[in-house]
Amino acid sequence: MAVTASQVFDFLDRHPSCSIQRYEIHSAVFGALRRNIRTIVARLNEGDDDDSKEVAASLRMRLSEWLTVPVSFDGAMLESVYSLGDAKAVEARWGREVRLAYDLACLAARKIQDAENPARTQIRDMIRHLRSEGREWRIYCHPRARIHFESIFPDAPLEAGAFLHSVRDYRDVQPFDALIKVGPLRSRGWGSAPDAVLSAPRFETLVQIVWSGCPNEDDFGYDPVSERVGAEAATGPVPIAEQGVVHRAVTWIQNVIRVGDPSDTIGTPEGDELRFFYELSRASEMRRATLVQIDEQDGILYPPHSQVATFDAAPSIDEPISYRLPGETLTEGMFVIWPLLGAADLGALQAGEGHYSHIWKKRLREEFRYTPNDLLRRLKEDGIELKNLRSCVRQWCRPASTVIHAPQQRRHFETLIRVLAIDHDASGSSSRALRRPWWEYAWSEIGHARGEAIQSGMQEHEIIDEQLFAILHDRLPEIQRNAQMQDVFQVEIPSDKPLKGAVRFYRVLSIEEGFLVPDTILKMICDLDTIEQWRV
Amino acid sequence: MQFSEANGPWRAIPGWVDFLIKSGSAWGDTIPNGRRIGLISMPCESAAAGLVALGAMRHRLAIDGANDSLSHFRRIEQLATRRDVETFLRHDSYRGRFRLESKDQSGLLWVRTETVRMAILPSNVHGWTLDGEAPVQASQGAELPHRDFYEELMHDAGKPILSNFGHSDSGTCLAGRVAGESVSKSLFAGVRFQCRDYVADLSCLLTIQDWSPGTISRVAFFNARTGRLDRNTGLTRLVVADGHSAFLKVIEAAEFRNSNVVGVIHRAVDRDKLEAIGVKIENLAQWYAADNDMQERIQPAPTGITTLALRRR
Repeated sequence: MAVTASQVFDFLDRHPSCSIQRYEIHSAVFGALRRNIRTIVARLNEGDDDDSKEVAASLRMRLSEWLTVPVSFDGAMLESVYSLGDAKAVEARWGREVRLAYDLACLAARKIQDAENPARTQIRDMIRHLRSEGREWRIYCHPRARIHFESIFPDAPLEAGAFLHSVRDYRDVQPFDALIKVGPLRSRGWGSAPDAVLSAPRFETLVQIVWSGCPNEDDFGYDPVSERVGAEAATGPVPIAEQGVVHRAVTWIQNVIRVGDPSDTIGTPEGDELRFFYELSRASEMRRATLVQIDEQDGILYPPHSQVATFDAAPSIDEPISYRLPGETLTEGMFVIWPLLGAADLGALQAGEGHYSHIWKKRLREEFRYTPNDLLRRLKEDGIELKNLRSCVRQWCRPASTVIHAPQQRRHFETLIRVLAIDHDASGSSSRALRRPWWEYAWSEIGHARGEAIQSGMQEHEIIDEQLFAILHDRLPEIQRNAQMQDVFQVEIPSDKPLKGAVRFYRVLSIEEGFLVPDTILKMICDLDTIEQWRV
Repeated sequence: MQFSEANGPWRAIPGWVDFLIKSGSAWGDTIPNGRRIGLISMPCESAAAGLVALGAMRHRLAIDGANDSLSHFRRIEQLATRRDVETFLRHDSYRGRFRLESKDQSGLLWVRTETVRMAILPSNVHGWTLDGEAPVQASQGAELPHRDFYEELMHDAGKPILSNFGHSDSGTCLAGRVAGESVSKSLFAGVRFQCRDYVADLSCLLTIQDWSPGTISRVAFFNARTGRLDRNTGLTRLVVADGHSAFLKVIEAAEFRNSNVVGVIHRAVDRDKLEAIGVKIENLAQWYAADNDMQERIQPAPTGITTLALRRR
């Protein structure tokens, strides 16, 4: 049952002041790894080369994860550094400075495996302590970080209700004793948490486990009505927002406990990679976006203030089919309406391996099965410099689910098809009848499954939606029946209607803000692994 | 007076509820000498907006003549001049919908059905109700129930005036959640008061027309999702907006450009939503200054609630 306001106020009455136990972890080895990866990211970002920027984005993502999630210090870290290629190739491509940073990062990534991640040690000790005292506690983390927390306790699994993953989870939780949070307090991006953690606490003690040099966001705990938490005394004119305010927020008492290797010198604000990465991503031409997760592996990114065509299955709702704002009027449990107009035959609930995808995926699976290293080498040589190329290829081999899994970039797809040596003859089609290269037809097929047709101006949105809504209203009972039973379903448009094709409905699993993304990826179904790189 | 939330045990009215009702009363008490804007920031999801609206309503119950009666005839007159919309009325004795016609040459207002034509005069106007709205005046015996509740809510305020229980009033308006009217209503329905042996929930006590049909209404309702106001009398003095989106809509709505506005938000939302409010406050700073008088009147706030009061310069 969701918490009541009375329970929250009773709690606040009993706890007019709360405490932060900040465990600040110092590690010279991890510090060296951080510093050198940061150097590599900075240098790779300076150039105009898209491939380099993509590599930088992957490294940025990895390091952001290490700083905000209690990952195991294992070979995966070294593998991440190795994804740049071998040392000689790195130097040949990016120069001496990057090579040096690469060598040092490899050294640190190898050495770091000698001991357990101290963040994991702290979490284990803390939870054991809380358990022994019979106190109620929760962990705030991203859903994808959960597995790392769970792996700390193989013999004493964490309770299902121990995790909070979203502002909605936090909003509904009953007051408890301690909140465990890894990483700095940030309102957006990696390791983000709701401002309400500070401005509206539901717990007495915040146990924060954070790497040195990762300060909290300056205005975390923002309340537009009150003075900002931790604001310094104003020396100039007092902002209007603070003139008429009586601030009655809870008082926080912070206690910093330094843990680990005192020779680590990264503990300065300049060492804050998360802030550095945020500024890097701001500098590029990106747009803010909200992620609407539609299944376990896929989501759609919408720009701010998007009016999304949706269906609400709640009984007695006035307008079940309507435009809604993600995170505002569009909430978890509703359905995103995804038209597949003009689609010839994309199968029932699956995107299906269309004519072209069937051919290239079959070829790719064969090559990846029998000569994986050779395939990866050729893809790299031909310009696909993706980090974890192996796992990307594995992903592309997967049968179609929500979409046809394929490279996100058109250039990469072209390369893939070239390396697989597929052309019109190979596919059995007549090249005379087809004027464009084979890969372009295959790319169109992928794009169609991703909904690009809808985005590319092929149809006029509003007119289409108006007609679509009218058709869907006629089929409301069928849609409502399906919605009771399935998270994803499809409704065919009757053949006598002006629009042709089908409409797919995806139940919204979660909604998350805090992404900066290129325009080209907006309003398209994209796998969550890819989306992670745009988390701020 | 006892209080219960979400079927919890009965208890004395808690401090936060008392604060919100009194704040509503204070906001309802402002003299119209410059528009005021207020914000109440809550630490959690709650029925706070409804409680503030209840406080404002309670304040107006104690003001003699705080109702829509005097303006009713004038409003019908104005509607009769409009060519762009058809207006229908109902009468408390005659059945059917009557279409409002333009004034005739002698200045009389006429309404008609297919079979009957009748004149509306200032002396009989209270028998006429705009179709879909609450009656301006309750018929004998159909006045508002729960009088004791309103009186007990604020002992130290003026006693409610009896005649107000029989007249609708649009001085206070509640703007519901942008997620839908039903969301606000269900939250308010979970907040109950017990006075002697009787129990009433907040959604009933607010007397919103669609939620308590068949009687007069002393709180107008603005659907922030559809932008529909249940009766646009032009008499709204205070709008209480439930949630940040409703607040942002109301502050820009033409219907309320001269009304005071109190937004009730909560902080357990994404940063973008908090910042949207912050940006709006910064923008308002060009024309508004801190209203220290109001701020003093509504203090002290319970721990966890922050407030802001601004007044047009």
